[in-house]
Amino acid sequence: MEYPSIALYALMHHPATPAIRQILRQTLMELDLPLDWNEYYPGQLRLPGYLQNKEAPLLIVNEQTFQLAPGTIHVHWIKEKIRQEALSNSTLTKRLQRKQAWEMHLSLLLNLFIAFFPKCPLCWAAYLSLIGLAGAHSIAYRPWFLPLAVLLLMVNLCTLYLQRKGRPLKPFWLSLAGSVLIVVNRLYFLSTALMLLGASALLLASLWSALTRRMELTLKYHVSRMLGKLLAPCK
Amino acid sequence: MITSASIGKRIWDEFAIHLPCSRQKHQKNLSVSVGEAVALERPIHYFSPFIPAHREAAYAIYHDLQALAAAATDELEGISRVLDRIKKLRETEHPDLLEYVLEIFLLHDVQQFQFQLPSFLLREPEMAYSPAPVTPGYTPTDPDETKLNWFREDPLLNEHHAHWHSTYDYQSRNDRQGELFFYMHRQMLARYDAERRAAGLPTVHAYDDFSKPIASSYHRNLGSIMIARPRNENDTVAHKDAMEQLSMLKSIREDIEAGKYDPAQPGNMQAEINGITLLGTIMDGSTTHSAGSPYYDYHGKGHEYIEDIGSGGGAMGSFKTSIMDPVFWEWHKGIDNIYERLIQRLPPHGQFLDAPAVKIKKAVDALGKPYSSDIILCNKNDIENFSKEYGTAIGQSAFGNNAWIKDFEARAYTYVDASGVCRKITTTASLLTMMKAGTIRYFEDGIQKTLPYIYLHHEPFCYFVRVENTSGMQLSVTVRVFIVPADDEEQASSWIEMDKFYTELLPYSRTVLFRDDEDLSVIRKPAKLDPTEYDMKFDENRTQTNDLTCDCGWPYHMVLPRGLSKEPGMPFHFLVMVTDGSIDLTEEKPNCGSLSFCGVRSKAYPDKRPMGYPFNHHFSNNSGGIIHAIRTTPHIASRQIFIRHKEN
Repeated sequence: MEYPSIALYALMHHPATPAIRQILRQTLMELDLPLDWNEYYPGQLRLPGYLQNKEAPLLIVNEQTFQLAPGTIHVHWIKEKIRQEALSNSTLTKRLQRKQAWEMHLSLLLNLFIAFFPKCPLCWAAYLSLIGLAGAHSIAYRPWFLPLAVLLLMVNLCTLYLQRKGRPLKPFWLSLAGSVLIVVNRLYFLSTALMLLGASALLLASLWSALTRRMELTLKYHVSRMLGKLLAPCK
Repeated sequence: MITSASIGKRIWDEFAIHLPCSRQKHQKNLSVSVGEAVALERPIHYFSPFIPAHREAAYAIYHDLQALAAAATDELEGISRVLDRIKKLRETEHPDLLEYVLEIFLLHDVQQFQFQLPSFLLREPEMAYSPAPVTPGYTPTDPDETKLNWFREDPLLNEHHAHWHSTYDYQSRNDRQGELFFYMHRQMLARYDAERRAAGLPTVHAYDDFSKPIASSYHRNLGSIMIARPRNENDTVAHKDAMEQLSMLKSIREDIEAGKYDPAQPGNMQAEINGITLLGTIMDGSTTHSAGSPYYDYHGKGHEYIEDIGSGGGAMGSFKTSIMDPVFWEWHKGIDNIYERLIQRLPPHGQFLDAPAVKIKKAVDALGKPYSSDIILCNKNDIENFSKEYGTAIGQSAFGNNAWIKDFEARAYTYVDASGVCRKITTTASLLTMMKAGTIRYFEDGIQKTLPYIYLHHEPFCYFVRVENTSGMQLSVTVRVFIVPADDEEQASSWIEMDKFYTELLPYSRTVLFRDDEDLSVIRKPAKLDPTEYDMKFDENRTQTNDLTCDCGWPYHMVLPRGLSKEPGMPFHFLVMVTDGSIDLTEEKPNCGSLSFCGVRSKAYPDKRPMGYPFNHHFSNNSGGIIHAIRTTPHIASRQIFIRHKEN
């Protein structure tokens, strides 16, 4: 059984606080729940919103608050509140876990979308070409097309370079390599394969720079786990 | 041909045979004779690095030795030349000076080889000599203070203090040396005060006004050496010395109040460390940059002035004996008060906003004290089939997985070992100490002799900490462990560091961390489980795996305070704090010695935070103090334990 999250919003030096703690302890022991609760206090930084401006001791069970009347400690009342929440807790916990997972994955999906959204016409052409909707030849050539493309590439490079504080420069170098490849290909080789290679490098660089450090670590962890499972039979 | 074995033998013999022999010859030539009238002139029978002239002489020789070694073609030849020079100098220089110089040379100037030094008990067995009757004309040690003779006079504790001062010598070559000077001595004081509490004595009072007599007396016979202070109750520090001490103290206080050592950027950790380190190195005399400061070497001068009382030659004159004298602790309390004065100027801890995303369960115990079911202690003898290598697995089996939410109050449980067999494991709320009797073996004139020796020891223990990583990313964390006598829970300076280690927590993981008492970060490593076990002779086949700086650290046998005999024992808080390793970690990974007290040889101190964190600052009264912080901070938890002393 999952256990409820319990917290105490205690007024410092309130005479009832030690007794409340003892009741909580006894209650949790009787219900065979883990001896664990958080404690908050007035004026605490990063206090949950539902505790702002409260002036009485509160018992918080699964983010629901119950006022504890000063001078009166309702032992059975506290026990009942916790017991009820413990019984209904499994549904709440799963809901909270789904919410956390959804938030994490939504954040990742959003960044992927931004990263993959085409930022230059050549990339757009390559992208469309990749998914077979249109070929590069369907976009009519204009004389100003190349300078504009080069300008957009420069803007992309500058953006990556300016993000270098606190981040490695590797996305910038990858993007630079892709840009150089695209421009050189355009001037000399006119090879679709090289163009796609350069566009891929630009896309990867954008994705890499869009990832937060946190997501980078999480991705590394999950990838290494998958690889670990795949490689395990080979060990 | 010079080999590392032949050099190792020479070094061994120098410390175990030649220097002790020289010392005995010097003592026999003394004009002071035990049992006769008190010496009329000041003895010059010992070397004191606190005396500037002695120190200058020592470092002059040391620099000579460095030059000699540098001129050699390789390190072994260099060491051989150094040893040849030491041999010549035995005729003219005091053996303690040569020992000091040679030890510093081996600690700091030998890079490629590791050499074994004989045990302190073999080199200076008189450090463990049983007390003899008081010398006529000298005041006996204060009866209350004799209750703690076992602590102050422990030879390996004295060796630790001496060795620390050699590792962190006057050349100021180590990272954050000044800060460590303050911190290491503060930790010594915290432990000493815990022992005083257990003995029913008040905590140490500072002696920082040399115009007043010293309250405590001390007398001890160490073999044929008599250490005593004062000769009688009227002896005090010489007037001019007292005036100088007071003047220096006034200057220190004025400079602190003027903000001279305040961090340039308030709240900046490194700036704070820099200020403390600067003051520490000036007061310790371990930097030449501020030799013109009015309170340069304030610490050493205090030792010198006290050592000079009466006929001189007191315990305070030597690193090897100073902690024996009760006044050492009083003097260092005064220095600690200066440190405290500086700390009080720093902003108090409010909330810890840089906490990693970890959870340690917390509640209260039956007495209303903070309690965590995630801090579990065991006596190792109560774990069936225990071995250190499997400690983590034992913890995971016994306290992890499906048992994660259980509370393991003190009784027997089970775990499944590597071969699938169910074994017993008993948790405890009490750690046990006892006094043990041993025998010191040493050589005198080639004949093996023995001395009785009593020392504090403890039942070997280990602890487990259950930590949950509540985030989706892998975390590097530092786990910091402290204890404090329950009566001193709100005194930041009383918290005794026990352990500090780094670990990694996988995303969303529930990890049972295991630590053996032989791995605690404060002790010298490898741990000396039996202080009376040591090599009597040089063994060329024995591999010395660590360099001499690894010998730095608190003695294992004294890692626990003595506690009380009366059931259930002396109450302590056992605190665990988990901090963000990405902030704490340096690139240095210590692999020997005491991380906490000795750092890493020739490298940065392996923790970016101020020493003693979080007790490096006081806790704001507005936010309820230390216990309140424990209750309300997710990454700090504590529980009450008892340390019980088993009487023989």
